Amino acid sequence: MNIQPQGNTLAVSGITELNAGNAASFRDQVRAALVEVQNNIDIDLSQVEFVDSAGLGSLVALRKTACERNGRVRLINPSPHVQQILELTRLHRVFEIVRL
Amino acid sequence: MRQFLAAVPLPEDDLHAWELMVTEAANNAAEYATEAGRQLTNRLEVFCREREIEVRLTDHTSGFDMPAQAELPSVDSEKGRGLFLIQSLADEVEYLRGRAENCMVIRKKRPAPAAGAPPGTTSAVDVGSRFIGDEQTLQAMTEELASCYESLSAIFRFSSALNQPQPTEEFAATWMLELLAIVEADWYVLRLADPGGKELRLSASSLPGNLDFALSLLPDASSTGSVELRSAQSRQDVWFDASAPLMLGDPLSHLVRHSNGLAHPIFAEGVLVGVLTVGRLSTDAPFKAGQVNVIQTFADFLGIQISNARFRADHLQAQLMARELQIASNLQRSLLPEKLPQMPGFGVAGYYHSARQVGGDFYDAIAVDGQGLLLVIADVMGKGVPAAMFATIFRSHLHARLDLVKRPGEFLTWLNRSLFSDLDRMEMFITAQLVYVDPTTRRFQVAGAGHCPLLMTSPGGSPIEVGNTGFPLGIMFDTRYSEEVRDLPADARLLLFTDGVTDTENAGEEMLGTEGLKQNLQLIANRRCNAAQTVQEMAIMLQTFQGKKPATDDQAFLALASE
Repeated sequence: MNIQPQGNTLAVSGITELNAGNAASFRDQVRAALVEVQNNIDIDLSQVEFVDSAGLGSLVALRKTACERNGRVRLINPSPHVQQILELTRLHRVFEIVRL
Repeated sequence: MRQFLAAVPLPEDDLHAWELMVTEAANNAAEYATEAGRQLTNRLEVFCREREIEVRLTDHTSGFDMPAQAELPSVDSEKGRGLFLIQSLADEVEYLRGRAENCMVIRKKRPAPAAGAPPGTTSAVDVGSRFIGDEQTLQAMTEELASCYESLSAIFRFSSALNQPQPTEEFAATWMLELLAIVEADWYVLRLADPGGKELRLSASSLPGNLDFALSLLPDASSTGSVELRSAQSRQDVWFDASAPLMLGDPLSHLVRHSNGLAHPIFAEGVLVGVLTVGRLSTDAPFKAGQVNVIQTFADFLGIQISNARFRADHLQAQLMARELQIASNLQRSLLPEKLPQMPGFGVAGYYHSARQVGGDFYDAIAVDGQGLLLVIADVMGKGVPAAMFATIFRSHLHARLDLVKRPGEFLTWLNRSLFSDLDRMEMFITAQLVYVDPTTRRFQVAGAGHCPLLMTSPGGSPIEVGNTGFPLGIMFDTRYSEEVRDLPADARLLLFTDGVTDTENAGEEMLGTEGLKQNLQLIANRRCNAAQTVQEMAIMLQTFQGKKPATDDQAFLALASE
């Protein structure tokens, strides 16, 4: 996993799966990487093949963190399967899903 | 799990759905397991059915009440989406609560197989339809699977070999040995029914003794107690073992007295084509259901092979016949003169159209002594090779006695006597008409043997019929043919023809008839057409008359006209 500060945004990439096994650690690592000036989080989901409800939970947790900083979470290029799960759980309504 | 389902196979979307559903269920089972339950193993079972996949997962939790439709938590909740996802992606979800364990049952329909999917897919899936976590069961399953796959793959190789043309005996012998190995049998006997279905003849056998005799399938045949015959007659499997041993009268009993096995009838399109008997040299190790299945499947394939082989033989026969007809047709066409001789003041032209591949019509014009001309038209009764053969014989006889051309009646009498025995033996006959035209005397002599009279006319005239009919050649040995002598006017037209011309039918099934032919001939004569033109015009007239209706008989005519 790569975490890159880009101004007021923290860019997270290189994730291949988000499940019960790694969701908590993913959430904690991203939170730990956030510095004072950053209120936005960009999460590159293009390489994520599998996401389960725990993985979704970690995304929701990070969104809460960003909201507390008056920022937002953007999900970048989710695969069709991940997009389908986001839509199924209506989370596509609260995350900004970006195609770059 | 994913790999297992991928081998089913399932499309990518379904694989994703199953992976997610099972993950969610398993996560819940692990997360909410009781203290004691954490020491226990959860069992995952996958049932691959033809139309659906079912997964059962046991858990050792305190259980929960399954809502009819789980609700999504608030968007801020980090938990509580698992059950919702399972219900959304599955077609049916049940949660069975038990004392020792609970079980979640998830079902999802399989997509309809694409058209043209290999037929083996379903069988392979059915074979592997149970995947049980229990070690022992799993091992048994694996062995069964391996054995079934071996059988299936043998059957597939067997079926692909079916496409290779080879003699049935050779084919059977090769594959029966393979069958023995697969089903762990010791011997086999394969008998095939003769094409008439009267008896079973030995095709191949692994037994050393002499079995090369036929078993009669006729109802009145004395019963020998043969399991093969009983299977053929009852059209059912006949089993033999310790409780029902081979009878003493059974030819097999001398060779394999203490055996168990079965005689299986083989059918091709519902018709008995043979009996396959397979056995083990022991009475206490019967074939298992799966092995019986393999034997029956092999026998079915063999039936297809036999059926194919017979079809191929029929096809070959048809090809030979077509070839024979082609030869006969070539032969017959070669009889027709390439170029007709002409004589001073008169031209001669001929026309021949064969209704089928080979007919027996024949015409010729032979110049004699550089002066006179013999016109010949004949029709051998019948079609095909014999008709063409007799046309050939007729022609050679004709050319053998050209000294008789000036006396056509005598010529016919001689031809009749020469051809009589051959024609009589074949129950065939030939109608013929000989016309000798002498340009110097401007007369012609006609003799007929059962043939329709020729037509003679001149421009502005009207056609008259000339010539006796008499008996065809080959009817009466002693027939004497007389001849008629006529003057040949300078502008005369003669038309010799076979009855295929007057019998030509139009779309309304009306025949052209002699009157129709006369009218057309007169129209052509009035235009003073020469012989070649007359033939051309007559051909067009015939084709126009019959339209699209195919000719049922050969059509031939020979025209003589002043140039």
